[in-house]
Amino acid sequence: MAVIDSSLSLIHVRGLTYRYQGGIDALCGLDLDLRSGSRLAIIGSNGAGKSTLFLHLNGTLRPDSGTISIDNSPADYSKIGLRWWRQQVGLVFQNPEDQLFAPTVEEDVSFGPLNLGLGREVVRVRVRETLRMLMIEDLAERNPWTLSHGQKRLVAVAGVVAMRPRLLILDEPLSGLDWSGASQLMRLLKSLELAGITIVMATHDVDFAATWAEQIAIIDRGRLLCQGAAAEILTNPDLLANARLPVPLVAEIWMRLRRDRLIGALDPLPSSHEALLDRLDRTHFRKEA
Amino acid sequence: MSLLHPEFSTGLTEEKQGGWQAPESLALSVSMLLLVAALPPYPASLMVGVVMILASIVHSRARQMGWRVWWARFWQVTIVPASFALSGALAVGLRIKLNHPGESLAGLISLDFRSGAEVLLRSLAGTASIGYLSLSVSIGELVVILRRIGFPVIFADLLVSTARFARILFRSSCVLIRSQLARGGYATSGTARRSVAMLLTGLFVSSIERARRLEFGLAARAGDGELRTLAPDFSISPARLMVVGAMVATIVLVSSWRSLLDLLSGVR
Repeated sequence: MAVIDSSLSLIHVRGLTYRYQGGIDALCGLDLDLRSGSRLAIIGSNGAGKSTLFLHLNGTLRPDSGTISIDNSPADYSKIGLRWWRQQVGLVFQNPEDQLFAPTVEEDVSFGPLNLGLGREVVRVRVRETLRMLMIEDLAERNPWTLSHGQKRLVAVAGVVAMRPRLLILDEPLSGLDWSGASQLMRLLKSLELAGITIVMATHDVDFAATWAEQIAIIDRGRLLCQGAAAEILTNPDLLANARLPVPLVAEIWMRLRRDRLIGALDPLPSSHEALLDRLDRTHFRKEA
Repeated sequence: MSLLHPEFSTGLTEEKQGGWQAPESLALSVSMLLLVAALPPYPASLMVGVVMILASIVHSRARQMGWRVWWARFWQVTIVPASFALSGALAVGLRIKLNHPGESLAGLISLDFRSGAEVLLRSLAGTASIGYLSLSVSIGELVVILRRIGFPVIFADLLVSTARFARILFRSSCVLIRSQLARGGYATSGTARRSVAMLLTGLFVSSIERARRLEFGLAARAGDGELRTLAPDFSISPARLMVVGAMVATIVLVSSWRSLLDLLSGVR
């Protein structure tokens, strides 16, 4: 398994434990490293502790024990420390309705930047820029509650992006989105990456994780099972079975082809089914030739 | 407030660019409410009622929207207060007593139609003013105005949260009722009672859970309890405020013309 160079980390999590009031252990000594500039997908079945972990990663929840450090400094839970932390690490919730409260999209998006203490004119410009970046300027005056689920999701992302975070964490961002909504969101995330924002997302969809992620962390029952390169983890059926997760379709076909020596042993795992089909086409043509 | 009509409040925001601004609508509505409270109900309340219904029609562009749609929206925001007005007026106009055993069950003690009609007229005029306010000023705009005139922040934020949760509860209850209906939840009076009890319990539990999730959602965006957002800019027109003043003056003059005549004859 690939070992991550910790010096490049943005956030280190060590021995994180958290128990909800009902006595449910959500996190049980979890370790994790989030690197700057790397696409990390945190995968795990329902109830694995992904959402609880995310609430810790921007200081919304405070762990019972364990440490979180940002840029190698321990997390500061003071009022000023939390404000800085939440500016650095933006969190988009699984259900966008958990974030929206204001009567118009523009007002809702302005909430985060105003909490950072920015002036009203700066915030106004920033809100406009963010809405333009996400291509939802036309929704500025709309009431968030009248929008479609996909639009609400974009507004929720805008509310966090307007705070200009270095790390953007998305909890199950594709849940409830149709194909076009998901494509639009993925295009948007790509543009955010180009703008220098590191993106981390939680998902239980291993096929999507195979397509998008460079790094994978598997969480199960509040613990980290493994963290490493996507190609290594997603082609390890035993590891995935331990976390009660299936092997991605692309990885399964690719492993079968390798077993039957239809492709070379050193061929890298294709990142998507399109890449796999392309690879198969080339193999087929080569054989015919 | 227009939280009851999300699609309508959206449309209004676009329409408002050239129309009446929220503070102007609020000024009109509040001044009419004051007139209803201060002046004799006839003809002041009658005039206020007519003015407010006309203002709602003009503001909502009822002709373009369709009269039926406008009426449905106006009805939706006024039916509850109007029902209270009617029951209040009945209680004032008719006094009923329970008779002794052996007599008829109940009897009328007195009929005071005049007082009842006055209460009804005042209440309906007030309801029309509130109806106009609901259709012309969104909850967000109202909060902004309240904040600017020095209303305590905590109460303004409470108003925003209440509006948000009212909408969520309304939606949740619609979904739950549909789900109960699909499973025969209201087939008999017994199952209906049980379904309503379960609905209320479910709504209570889900509202607590949603409040907790909203708290997390706001905290994640560096929220510290205060709901700070960019406020819309209002450009208040002196001409429109003068129109409001003229309306108020006209209603005051018309409703007190008899007193004025008496005063003038006394001077002569």
